[in-house]
Amino acid sequence: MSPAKLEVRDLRVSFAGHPVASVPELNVDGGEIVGLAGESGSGKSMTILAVLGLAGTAGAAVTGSVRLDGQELIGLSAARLRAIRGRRIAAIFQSPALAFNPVFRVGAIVSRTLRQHGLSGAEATARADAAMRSVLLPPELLDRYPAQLSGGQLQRVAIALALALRAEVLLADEPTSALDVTVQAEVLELLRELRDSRGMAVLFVSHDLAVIAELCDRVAIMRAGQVVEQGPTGQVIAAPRHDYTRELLAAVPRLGE
Amino acid sequence: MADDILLDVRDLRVSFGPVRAVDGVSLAIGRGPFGIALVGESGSGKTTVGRAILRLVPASGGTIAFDGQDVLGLRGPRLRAYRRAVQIVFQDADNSLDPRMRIGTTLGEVLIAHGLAGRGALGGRATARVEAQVAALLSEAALDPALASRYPHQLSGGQRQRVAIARALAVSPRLLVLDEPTSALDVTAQARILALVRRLRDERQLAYLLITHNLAIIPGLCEQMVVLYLGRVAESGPTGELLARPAHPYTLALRSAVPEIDAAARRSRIILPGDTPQAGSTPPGCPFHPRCPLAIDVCRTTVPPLQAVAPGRQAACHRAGEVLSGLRPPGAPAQLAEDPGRPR
Amino acid sequence: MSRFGRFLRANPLIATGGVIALLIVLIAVFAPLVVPYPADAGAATHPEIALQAPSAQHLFGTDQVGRDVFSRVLTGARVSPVVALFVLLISCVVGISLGVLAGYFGGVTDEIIMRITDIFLAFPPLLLALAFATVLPANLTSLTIAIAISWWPWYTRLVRGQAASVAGRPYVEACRALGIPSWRILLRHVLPNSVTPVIVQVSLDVGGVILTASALSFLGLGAQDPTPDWGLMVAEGQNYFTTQWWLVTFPGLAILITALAFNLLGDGLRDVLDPRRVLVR
Repeated sequence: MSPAKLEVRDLRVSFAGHPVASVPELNVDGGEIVGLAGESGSGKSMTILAVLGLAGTAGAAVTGSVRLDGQELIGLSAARLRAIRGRRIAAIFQSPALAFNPVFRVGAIVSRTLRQHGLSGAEATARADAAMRSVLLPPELLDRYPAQLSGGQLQRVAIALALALRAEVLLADEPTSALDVTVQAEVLELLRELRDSRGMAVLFVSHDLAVIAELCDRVAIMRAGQVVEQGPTGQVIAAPRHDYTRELLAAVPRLGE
Repeated sequence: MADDILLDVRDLRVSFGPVRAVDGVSLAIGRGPFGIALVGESGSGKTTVGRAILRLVPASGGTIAFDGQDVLGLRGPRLRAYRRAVQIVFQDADNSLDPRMRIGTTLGEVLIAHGLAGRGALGGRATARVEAQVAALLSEAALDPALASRYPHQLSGGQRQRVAIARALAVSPRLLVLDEPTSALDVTAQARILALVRRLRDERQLAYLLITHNLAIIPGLCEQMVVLYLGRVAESGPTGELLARPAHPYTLALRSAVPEIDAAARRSRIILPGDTPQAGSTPPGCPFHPRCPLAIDVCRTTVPPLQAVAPGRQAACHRAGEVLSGLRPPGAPAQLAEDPGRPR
Repeated sequence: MSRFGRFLRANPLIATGGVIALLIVLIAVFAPLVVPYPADAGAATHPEIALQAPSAQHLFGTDQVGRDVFSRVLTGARVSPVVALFVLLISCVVGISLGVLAGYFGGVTDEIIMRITDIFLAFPPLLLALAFATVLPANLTSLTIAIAISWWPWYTRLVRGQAASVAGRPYVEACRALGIPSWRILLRHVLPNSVTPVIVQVSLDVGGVILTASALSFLGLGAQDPTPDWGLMVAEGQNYFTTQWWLVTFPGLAILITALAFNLLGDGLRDVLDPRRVLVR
């Protein structure tokens, strides 16, 4: 069987000897959305940082294996990681405003990132425009400053950047938690499109089980740094095997009649 | 009928400079036990309504009456008395407690300030009285009384929110405003808070106004519901009916946007183009028309009045009757969004 | 090891600053009993042994009229730091009170207080202190008052910003919603949460006040000779700096060490006063 796009094995993240996240096995293939569900302190955000190779900057120690198309990322030199980060693995976070430097126009940040990864000025502009259209935003918005865009728009620009870079993997850490529910619906729809038409591999972290249930093909439930259960979403929800999963599911308020 | 109303808000208007955050909102809260939800997204004005009711922001128009008495003109001791009857729990549990004060002190302060700790608030006997009351409040909020000696940062988010609720209960209010009480919490903590509110409703005959953007927590807590958009009421009515048979396109979209765990309950998505508008950027005609999938010409020019569409139900939409009868937007693919960003 | 001992180990800043500050206080208290030539700190002069380099009999040498510099420096601990203490005390009381009132109430109160503050701030502090010192009799009390007058506005400005920020915080709003009276909110919530930047600033200002006092003393408006004020000693020793370096160096070092000690103390205190400080196990 061919290796999955992103393979995580025995990933352990710890702070000063205290383990904060431990993922024995996690695969994300192109064209699928895998969810990492858990409450605060479950270690899900640290997992994302570790995959991105940024956990070290936060002061954590990382062991284990993270492979992108078979290539090992843990232990790669900073320079080689930088080339991969953004270009092949893109990430969007909960607070899009934090990802954009407020003194630069959004377009300037986007084109600089693209050029950093080898594109010429003209190519960068063309790709950026095309990407903006893909996320249903008029390219003119690139001329605005981050403060002039709403949270939903900024999040979509962040996704556009991932698209422009032709990233193969998208890591999303609670990208819709800070958005209004109608805007969240838009962004989730967008992520589904990325999976379907672009064949992106998406790792989606959220504390909102309902969102995960609707969006993700497979899910891993984390609690206090451990993965307690994982499998196809429908299965995990219909027939949870771990008590904690049951507890989580019972706590989710349901609207349906 | 009027006897049943505890808090009567009529045509409330609140402006911050040129921005009309609340533009003519009316709602009625019955005597406890009673729950009403105020639903909306950012820019809807729902938080401002809650604050105006608590007299934390000045109203620029309209009336609020509590038990038949005018609220907006209250001053001094009358205002303080009002603040014993109506209380609020804020969204930001992390910051609504003084980080330098122990929990017990924070709760005790309320009791002492309102003279609820009995006469002679000095000396050992009074301290013991306050401590006993604080312990009782913490237990009622399902917290260990030993937490009284801790600082806020030593508690979890859910515990902090319960302390905030305990603090609001210290004055034995008749009406509790809950401003997004669970949005910053994990789902298990959220479930506990909602269960607590349900219990308090029964035990204290409490009336509450639940301000939220999360439709899923409303059934089971609130029998009435008001949906706000850009400072105006979109529709209002009994919760069950409103959710089962909406009369406003915004309610339709809102309801369809709520993610559902049960695959069977999932509805087809109505994706609204653009983003939730900022308060104050009200277009002419119906405030919702730029994003409304069912907008027609009249929507662009005339503001729809809030009218009865069924017994006990009101909606502000020119096509409310049609929506109520089942009109739904066609499953059209989203088009290039209009440029709805904030102008500088 | 005792709790206190462990506390000092975990907070080296406070420990160092505190120890030095304590030393200075002890010296100030016991100076007259401990120094080899107590009279030299007073009116005694010995012109025959003037300007002698540091030696066994005179650890820090002698000054231009033959007084033992060591005795004068140690006794000086009773002068400059005490002036600084009172200046900062007065400035804090006045500055913080006004700042808290301005920040919390805003509106007209804020306008009035801040405009008055601005008027005082418009003058260079030294000039302002100078102006007041000139009209007051030349002694240490006047010096203290004059510097305090020019010093308090900075604290008002500092505190007012902080108080305004605290006043807008959710827990203060919650207090208002709970019907807690304003005076209580000010005293128990706004004040404690607004004071932290002042603590650090005060520690930094110790050195500044001493220098300002020295400038004024040099101009003859504060401490008068023979008072062993460090600033005055530095000022008087300037002319001999290149050849008889000890006249300036030792009092200068005293100022430096004092300022440093309180600086460290202030830094450490600020960390300790934050209840959110993560405890290292």
